[in-house]
Amino acid sequence: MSNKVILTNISVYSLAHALVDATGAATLFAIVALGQGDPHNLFQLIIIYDVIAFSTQPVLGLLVDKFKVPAQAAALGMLLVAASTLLMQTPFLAIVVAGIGNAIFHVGGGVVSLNLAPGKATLPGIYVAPGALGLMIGTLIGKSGDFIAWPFILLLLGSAALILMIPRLEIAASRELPGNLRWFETVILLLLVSVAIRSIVGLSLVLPWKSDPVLLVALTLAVVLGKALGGILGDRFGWAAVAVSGLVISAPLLAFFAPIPAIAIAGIFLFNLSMPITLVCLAEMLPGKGGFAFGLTTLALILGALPTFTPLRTLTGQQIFVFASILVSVATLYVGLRLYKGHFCDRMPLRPYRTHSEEKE
Amino acid sequence: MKTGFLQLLGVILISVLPARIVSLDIALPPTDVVPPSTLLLGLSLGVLAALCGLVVVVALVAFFVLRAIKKNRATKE
Repeated sequence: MSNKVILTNISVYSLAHALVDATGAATLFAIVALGQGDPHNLFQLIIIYDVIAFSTQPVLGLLVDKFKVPAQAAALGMLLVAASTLLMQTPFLAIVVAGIGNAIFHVGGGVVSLNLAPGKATLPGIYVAPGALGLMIGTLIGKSGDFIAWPFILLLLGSAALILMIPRLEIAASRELPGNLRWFETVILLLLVSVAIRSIVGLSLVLPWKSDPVLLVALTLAVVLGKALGGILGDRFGWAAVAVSGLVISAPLLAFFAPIPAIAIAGIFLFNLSMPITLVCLAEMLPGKGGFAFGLTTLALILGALPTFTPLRTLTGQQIFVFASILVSVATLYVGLRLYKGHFCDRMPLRPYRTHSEEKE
Repeated sequence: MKTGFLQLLGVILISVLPARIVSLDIALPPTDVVPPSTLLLGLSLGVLAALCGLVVVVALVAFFVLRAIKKNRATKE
């Protein structure tokens, strides 16, 4: 696949990702802002939207994998998200349509990003990263009460058309998974537990300074950069080295220094480095099932998020809980990556660097 | 005026916290029938159960798909 095709695809899908997440968030918050403004309603809408958008992705991913239609799925998802902005008179229906559209887009785009450079975390990281930026922009627009649907609809329709027009990727042929299948479920389970724990921590952190718009933008950029650079650095320096060290350093920063914006923002950046690495490792465990792998990570995210929607949040927000959770996440991720490297890896170099003399040999 | 099912769901939203039912009657046309509180409670619990059920069902499907993938690969070997 030529670099031009890769660059075109990743640029279009990344921007579309930000747009889809922005529209979903704007619709969600605008429903309340333009209506009663009851914060309880917003909380419930968020739960319904999140559960639908995240939990349905494994099944939708399987369908995308089976029919090999990631671009069409992404375009359909964008159309559904656009349609949801016209259904705000019926909030429940609008949220359901937006959630399903969001899920279909994410698995479609996820499959494309995973297949642009199979076995590499760089491009999936770049695809996933702008979502946080879209969420922030959409949330601000929705809350402002100035949400107007048609610009979003036009942008979504234009992006959907672009996705269908750009050169399609060649879906990599499903390769055999090398190695001892005895550890198959263990590796997948460890990676998913790591994702779920990170979800609990991410949603439990109390960052009171987020109300400052400048700091909110800085925080969002830290998430975006963390996810984007996590893949690049992981491919360069080794997945385990980047993901595990990032999480280890982030643990004390997030657990004990969350009230200090500069330290917490650095912690959030490091915390997000592991995201694309976990995703790609899982996709490598399931060759030819990129959509399913992508969906499994979002299922783990929503399972991890569920306790934070309940009164248990008072527990999960405790400093010691955050610290211990991140360390457990580190342990599961480290063991998962080691087992993957030892038993299944046929692409990841055992040592990311080769000395000059080794290369000569 | 007859209230459709989706309209009704648009009006009713569930709360995770117990004993709290919140109305979401946003920009909806006024209805001349107020649903009885038991119906509201039932629908609220129904939506909550549906969401939890959705997550559980998808998790089970994912589990069985993973087992099938492993079995398929083991057979090939």
